[in-house]
Amino acid sequence: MAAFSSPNSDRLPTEGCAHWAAFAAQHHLPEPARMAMDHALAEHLQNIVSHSGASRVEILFQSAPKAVLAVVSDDGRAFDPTAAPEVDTTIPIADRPIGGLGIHMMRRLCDRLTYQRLGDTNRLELAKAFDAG
Amino acid sequence: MSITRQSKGDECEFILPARVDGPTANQLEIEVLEVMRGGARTILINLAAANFLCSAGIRVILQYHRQMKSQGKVLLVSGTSPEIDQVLELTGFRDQIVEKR
Repeated sequence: MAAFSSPNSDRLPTEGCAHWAAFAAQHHLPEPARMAMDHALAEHLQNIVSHSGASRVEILFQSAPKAVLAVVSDDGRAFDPTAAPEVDTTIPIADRPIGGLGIHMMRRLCDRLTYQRLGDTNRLELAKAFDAG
Repeated sequence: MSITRQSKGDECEFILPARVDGPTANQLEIEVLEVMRGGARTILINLAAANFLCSAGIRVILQYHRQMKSQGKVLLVSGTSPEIDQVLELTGFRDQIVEKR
């Protein structure tokens, strides 16, 4: 397990993903799981920076034999990414709304996203399973 | 996060770094707007060195792909790695914005 706490700033996605990379290397996680969580985490942290108004963010990484978990807590405005509308990827490019791609990618890259509002804190769990090898 | 720009006539190619994150996407938008205002008719976004493309980067590519197309001009992505192909595939845009080789 590893924890990382930071004030909310433009550097949050870069720093959060650097901590993730160090954790993934330390635990010898397979490349597809590393990359998927790296991308999903970057999207979520960028959303926090851009939209939440949070002052502080905490990230916890946990590794199990066949899965990895990132838990991100922030004290920003309540926002449940799991409740965001699905993006319809079949609509032609000229007609499609451009927003919502970050959450769409988080959903596709992770196996499970779980949101809770606990007091004045947003808590999102991002889970990625992999084949232990 | 540096972006390299190569221009020839009214064609321009942007060569993007390995990680196209939020700040790099913002920089790309500034540079694309600059060459569009300068009269570019063809813009290529070269992702051969990239292995990470965030949604902000995709948004920039899509937004200006549409604008250029509506003016009878071209903005396409070139040189995608397997990682970038996978991300573009997830969005459903891959076949529409990647240059056909």
